[in-house]
Amino acid sequence: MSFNVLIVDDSNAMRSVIRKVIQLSGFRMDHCYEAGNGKQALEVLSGEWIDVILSDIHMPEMDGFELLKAIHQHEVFRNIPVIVISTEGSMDRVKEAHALGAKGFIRKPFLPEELKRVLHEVIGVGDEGEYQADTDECDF
Amino acid sequence: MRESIRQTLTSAIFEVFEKMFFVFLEPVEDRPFQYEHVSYIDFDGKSKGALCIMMSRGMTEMMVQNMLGCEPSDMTGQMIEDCSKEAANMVCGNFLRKMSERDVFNLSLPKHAPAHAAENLGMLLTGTDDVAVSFDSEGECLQLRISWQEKGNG
Repeated sequence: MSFNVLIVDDSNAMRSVIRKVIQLSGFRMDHCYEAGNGKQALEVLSGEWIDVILSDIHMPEMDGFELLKAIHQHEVFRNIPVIVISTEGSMDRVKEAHALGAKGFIRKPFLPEELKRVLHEVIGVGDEGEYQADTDECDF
Repeated sequence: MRESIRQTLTSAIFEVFEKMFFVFLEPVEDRPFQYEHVSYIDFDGKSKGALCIMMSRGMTEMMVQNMLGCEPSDMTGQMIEDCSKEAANMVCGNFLRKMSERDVFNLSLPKHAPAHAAENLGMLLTGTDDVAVSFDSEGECLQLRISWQEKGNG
């Protein structure tokens, strides 16, 4: 089984890094969709089947918290797990993200292993053997 | 307080540059150098201020190549801008978290400008109370400057 991933970040560079880390981690990614803010993410969600969302908080036009609220209020989208990846890592921010439905929180800067671990935990398929990492370490 | 800010800033930039850019920095004495790129971000919370990073051309190229794994011939201005802004964003976020994990700070969207435009855009922090730290890696330089104002203390 492969998964469709949506990466939401206003930085092309960060989207590229996250995509590369997922690919190198051995995670079975089918399609990788990208969005530059929450509004674009909702457009992608309207037209594509997405299994997991990785989203930044700090973005123009529609930020990550607004996206989390919109997803949480949607009958279908609310079932898609969201992992927040952000520089804003105060305890209150983490609690706020979880209260809005986020299933995981990764602080930038992150190590590839950390992203892999949280993705694994949130998707929850590793124990069944559906997701097999190629290596324990990821290199660029 | 200045020494605490200096140490925390140094710790934050080490962590960000090692984890995301695979660049290992060495602290050096502040000295004039030819910087070509500037990134800037401001923050507001229990304290308020701004942070700017001035980078030599070689430093930004090293960051882009390492972060994105691209060849020098494939490097674009957009990549340099993205990586420079992301550096300011991550260093500032990391620094504030290290200063006080309990407090919430609002960060602006980071900005990037070439050196010749940065001064006119108010992106260079030149206040006498600002804290500056300089670093070198493989002969390439960067300098961080931060203004920090405790609220209620004027």
